[in-house]
Amino acid sequence: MRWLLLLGLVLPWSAGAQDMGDVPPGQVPIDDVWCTVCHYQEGDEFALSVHYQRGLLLCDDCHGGDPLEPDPEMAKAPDTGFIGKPARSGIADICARCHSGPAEFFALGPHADPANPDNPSCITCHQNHLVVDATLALMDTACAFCHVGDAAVVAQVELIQATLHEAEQRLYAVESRFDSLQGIDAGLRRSRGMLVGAGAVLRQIDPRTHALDINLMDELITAFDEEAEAVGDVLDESEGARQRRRWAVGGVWLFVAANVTLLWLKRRQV
Amino acid sequence: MQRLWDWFDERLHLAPLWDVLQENLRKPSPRHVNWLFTMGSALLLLLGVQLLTGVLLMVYYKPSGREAFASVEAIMYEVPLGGLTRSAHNWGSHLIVIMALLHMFRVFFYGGYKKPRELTWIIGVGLLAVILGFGFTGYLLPWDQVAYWGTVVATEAPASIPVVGPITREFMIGGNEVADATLGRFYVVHVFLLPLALMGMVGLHLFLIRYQGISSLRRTDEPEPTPAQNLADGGKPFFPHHFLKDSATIYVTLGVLVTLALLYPAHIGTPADPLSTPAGIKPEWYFLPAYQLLKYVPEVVGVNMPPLLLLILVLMPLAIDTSPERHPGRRPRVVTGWIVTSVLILGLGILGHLSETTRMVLGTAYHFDVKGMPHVVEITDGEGQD
Repeated sequence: MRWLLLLGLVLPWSAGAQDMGDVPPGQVPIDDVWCTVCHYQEGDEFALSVHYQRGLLLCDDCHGGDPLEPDPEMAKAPDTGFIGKPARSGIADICARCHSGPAEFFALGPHADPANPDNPSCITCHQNHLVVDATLALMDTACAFCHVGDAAVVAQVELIQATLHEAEQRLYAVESRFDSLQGIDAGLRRSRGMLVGAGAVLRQIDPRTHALDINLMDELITAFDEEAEAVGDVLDESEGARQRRRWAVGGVWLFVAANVTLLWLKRRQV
Repeated sequence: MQRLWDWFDERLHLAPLWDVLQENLRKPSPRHVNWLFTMGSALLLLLGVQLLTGVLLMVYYKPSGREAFASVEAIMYEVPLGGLTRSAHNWGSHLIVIMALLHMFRVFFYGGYKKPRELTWIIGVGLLAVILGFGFTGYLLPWDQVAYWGTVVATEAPASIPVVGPITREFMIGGNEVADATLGRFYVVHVFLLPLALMGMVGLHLFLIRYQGISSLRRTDEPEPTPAQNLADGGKPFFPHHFLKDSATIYVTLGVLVTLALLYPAHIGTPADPLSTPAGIKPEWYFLPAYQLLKYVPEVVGVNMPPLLLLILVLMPLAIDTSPERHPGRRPRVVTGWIVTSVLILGLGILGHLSETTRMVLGTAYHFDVKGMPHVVEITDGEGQD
């Protein structure tokens, strides 16, 4: 029953996730993970997480131990590096093993001090076992959890969200224009690297959101805009070239019409 | 100019030759000669354009598996007017096949291949084979995925011919698989052997047309009309009357070619990868009937059909359509056979084009299977015509 209740709660977040019965490529079946025999609730959540579904992690990556060992004593033996539940102060370091960028900028932000019990850690916003892909919308719920009615925080969150959202819209616009023009100008394929580069710059901003400082994002937003503008210039040139080709076609047919008319007149003379 | 002419004439005695040429050019054509008779000239223009653009492309093209793709990309995007040159060459190859088929249909329906012009027709059939050979060998040269795998499929078919098949294939591609050696062979055939054959055959074809004159509509057992009779019958001298018509058709053909090359530039896919077979590989449209036929009949039959068809074309004036009548209405069996065969070939081509695609037809989605048979399918977002 508890399992069903939990599933009902997490399903809205996990739309698109595979059935728990499916084993993701490169991952072991969740039933083969012996930790989940006792920690079944955590196991059910973890099975739906991106960490499991993408074949990235198992229990031991954060908790140590040997998740494939059936004997609990041996699974948690000292030589397995078992640490159990990580200390609050160590959570950021564990996440930073893979997410070094967010951790680096989190350390620059207002919630950096792990000794302050009021500060959130990574799992406060991203959860511990049921980790899903983060979006800007996460800030709405995660920040409001502590900062209810705090106008300054709400304004800061909205500014960060709007800045990134608008940049994403600009990227989407240039991508759409690129794709539609590539259908008629295959040569644009050679410039796709520029578009990919602009998108990569935008993705570099994601870790910086953890510092919650718009000034740290500005530099990359400017760099992204410059790259997107360069792609726009290429697309302008492509459209200009196409327009010039249309004019050239008009010129060709004027030339053809003039010559055929002259030939026709000549034919009537002879 | 006159002094230059005199200089040559004094040494080579060109005046009599010039007189013969003048007389030939002013020879009146039969009265029925109309605009349909200008397609041969348009074909000649297109062949000339192919020769010119081909030579320009050769300057930058590098015929090796390692460099071919990059050199074509460089031609398209870096060489000044390279994209236009390649596009004109690409579109020219399509227009040539269309124009050659239209020209052949015109000659067939007017009975122009009948005695005494059988040789002109046979050379024409040879020219059609050469043109298709250009298409076949040129298809591989960009060395992209479609070109590579299209050639792999096309060169596998001859291997099914009993006894000589495997050796023929090996000789064609220079080994067991399409590779550098194939590209080298196809390149030499495309830029040297076929042009040599083409120029010789075009020269002979033109000579015979001018030497024998354009065919009348009279029965073959009646004497051919003399130039004077053609003139009296309302015919006009080839020069300038028909020449001016030819010139107008040439201008329009050139306009169509440049328009297509400018508005729909030739593109290039991804580099050839012998380890990755892309889906939906098909040959050029003019090989689609032969490609589709192979799906219905044993390979050994299908492979031999195109050469057999060319042989039938050669035999048309010699053994198949031997009645003295030229008017299409008076040789109904041959004309019916021609039309039925043409419709069958066209149908095979359409089936080949549709096969292995999903298309919307009158609001319903159909998947056309490998044999071109439609099956109703549910279509989801993101799918469409392919």
